[in-house]
Amino acid sequence: MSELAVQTTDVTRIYGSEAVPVYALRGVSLSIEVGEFVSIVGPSGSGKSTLLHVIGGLERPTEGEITVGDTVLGSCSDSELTDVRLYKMGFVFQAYNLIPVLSAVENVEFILQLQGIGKRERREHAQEALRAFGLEGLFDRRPSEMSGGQQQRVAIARAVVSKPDVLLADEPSANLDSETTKEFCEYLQHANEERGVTILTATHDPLVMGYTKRQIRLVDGQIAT
Amino acid sequence: MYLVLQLALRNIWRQRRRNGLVLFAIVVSVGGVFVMNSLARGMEQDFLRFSIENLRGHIKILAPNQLDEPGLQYSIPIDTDLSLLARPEIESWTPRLRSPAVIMSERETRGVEIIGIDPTRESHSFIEDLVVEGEAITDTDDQHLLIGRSLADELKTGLGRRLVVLMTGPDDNAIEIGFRVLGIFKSTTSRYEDAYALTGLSSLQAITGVDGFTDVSVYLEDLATTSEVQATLASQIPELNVVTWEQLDPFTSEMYRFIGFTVYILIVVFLGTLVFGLINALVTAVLVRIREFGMLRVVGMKSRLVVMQVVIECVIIMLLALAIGLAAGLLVIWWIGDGIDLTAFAAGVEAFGMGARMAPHLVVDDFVILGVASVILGLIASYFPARRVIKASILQSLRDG
Ligand SMILES: Nc1ncnc2c1ncn2[C@@H]1O[C@H](COP(=O)(O)OP(=O)(O)OP(=O)(O)O)[C@@H](O)[C@H]1O
Ligand SMILES: [Mg+2]
Repeated sequence: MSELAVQTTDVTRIYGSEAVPVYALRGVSLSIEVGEFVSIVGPSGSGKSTLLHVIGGLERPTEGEITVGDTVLGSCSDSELTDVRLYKMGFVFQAYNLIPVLSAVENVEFILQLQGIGKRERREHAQEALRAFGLEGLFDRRPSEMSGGQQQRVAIARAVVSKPDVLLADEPSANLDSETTKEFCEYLQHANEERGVTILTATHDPLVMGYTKRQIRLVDGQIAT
Repeated sequence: MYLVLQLALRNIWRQRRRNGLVLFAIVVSVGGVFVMNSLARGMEQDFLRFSIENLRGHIKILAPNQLDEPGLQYSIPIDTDLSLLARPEIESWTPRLRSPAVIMSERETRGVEIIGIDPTRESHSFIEDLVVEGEAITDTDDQHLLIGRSLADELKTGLGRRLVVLMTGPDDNAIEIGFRVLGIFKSTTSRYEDAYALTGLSSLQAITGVDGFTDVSVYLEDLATTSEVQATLASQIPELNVVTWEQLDPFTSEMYRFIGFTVYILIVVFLGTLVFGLINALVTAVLVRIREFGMLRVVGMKSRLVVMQVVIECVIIMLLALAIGLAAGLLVIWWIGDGIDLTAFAAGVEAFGMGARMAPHLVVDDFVILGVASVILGLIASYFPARRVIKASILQSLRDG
């Protein structure tokens, strides 16, 4: 058996009050191996986002355990979780991924800057990543000066630049047309195949599902088979 | 740290319209407080000058009983050793012989105070600044009388005419003496013009047979040394009465304290109001960016750094506004310069002990206090938006933005 990038064991997430509990996740157990490209699919409200959030350490599960790489999230403090996100994870959301006041290259550098990497090395890595995602020539554009597809590509470049254990993407193509979505998925595939990044994406979009090698189906907060 | 600063600066620029307004509000408040402060301080100085630069001085040395019963009965003998007044704190001092008197022309009678002066020593009293028509008193031996314009008008007399002065002498004897009016003075306030008639000190001594002075006014280099010098003098000449201007003029003294106090109240009230407005503006400014802050936290920026960014943004705006506000205030104060003309209300304000102009006066301490207080308040004000940013969980921030 190969190495695991992500593993969840009996993860449950309950919202609302004790009197009126809302089960977003009910005992989800899954394993994702290093180098996989997986989509989480299912109807609206089935818990896809919630699953990504607990894996990303953005909220804590009510019950169950999550391991990313060799880190057990449940044993981390909030501050340690921030570091886990910084060093081990990349994030792409459907919108508002970038810092409006920074240029494309600065947005990518931002992560490396938080990691304390020196100026020259930072710039090199950032430019290399942007080039790899077809953004040569757009280095100095601010997000407001780029199309939605270009912004999402900057977001992937930023997510992969520090070689994370896993890239989490929640509806990354929701604001893109089908042409751009296709292009975007090719770049995700590129990140997965050429760079070996493990990718976990929640999506409604059959086009995106088509690119992934495995689909996990959620219904009512449970994995459906 | 550089990263945070860079983000802060760029965000300030991005929201430049909003921040410009906030900046403008602070500039106006800080500048306004500053100008008002310096005007209040100017008023304070005016009160002080008015109290001290009349015939009082910072410290007055009086013959015993002069306070209770002003007149010629009690005097400081002319051979009293006053060499103790040669102290570094003392800028100048001047002896005078003063007596209540009745002054008569052919047509009218008025009560005045007749004062024998040594004109060479009056450099700190209002006498120095008098505008004289006719002859001034230039010598202690001058025998003519110098009276004020308004008194001359009331007595219906003029230059060259004769007046008769009645006084009670040192031994309760009546003194009646004729003077010729050789000079008429105008002063900044009609109070002086009505109240005083001046002549040479030696000649008044000769007329009254008083071989001495009723009092000595002492003018100091520095107001702050008043009580200290008073105490020293009092212990060195226990036979005489040594009092400070505050004891002689409790009204002005109270007024002086009151303005000093008001100045700080003013600063507190203005800056307090400012801070409330500031907090409001900053919180709104931060709320529209809440999703962005959420995203920064998602990708691994520590809450501490996010808070720091907000605080730095606030402090930069505050410092910038403070600098501009103080500079603008200085400019206005410089422009006001000599003062605002209050002649229209002059009669009213003069009675209060002020001149007819309102001139600003800079006090360095106030300048510093205003600056430091603004920065501290800016820090306090930035706490609220910063707290709003991290109070929401990351997911809430992403949803609500
Ligand atoms: N903060 C919250 N408070 C209460 N209930 C919540 C909260 N967040 C999510 N839920 C509920 O949890 C369930 C799962 O939500 P989630 O957002 O994970 O679904 P999803 O599969 O991502 O849906 P979509 O496809 O619409 O994005 C839903 O019933 C939702 O209403
Ligand atoms: Mg969702």
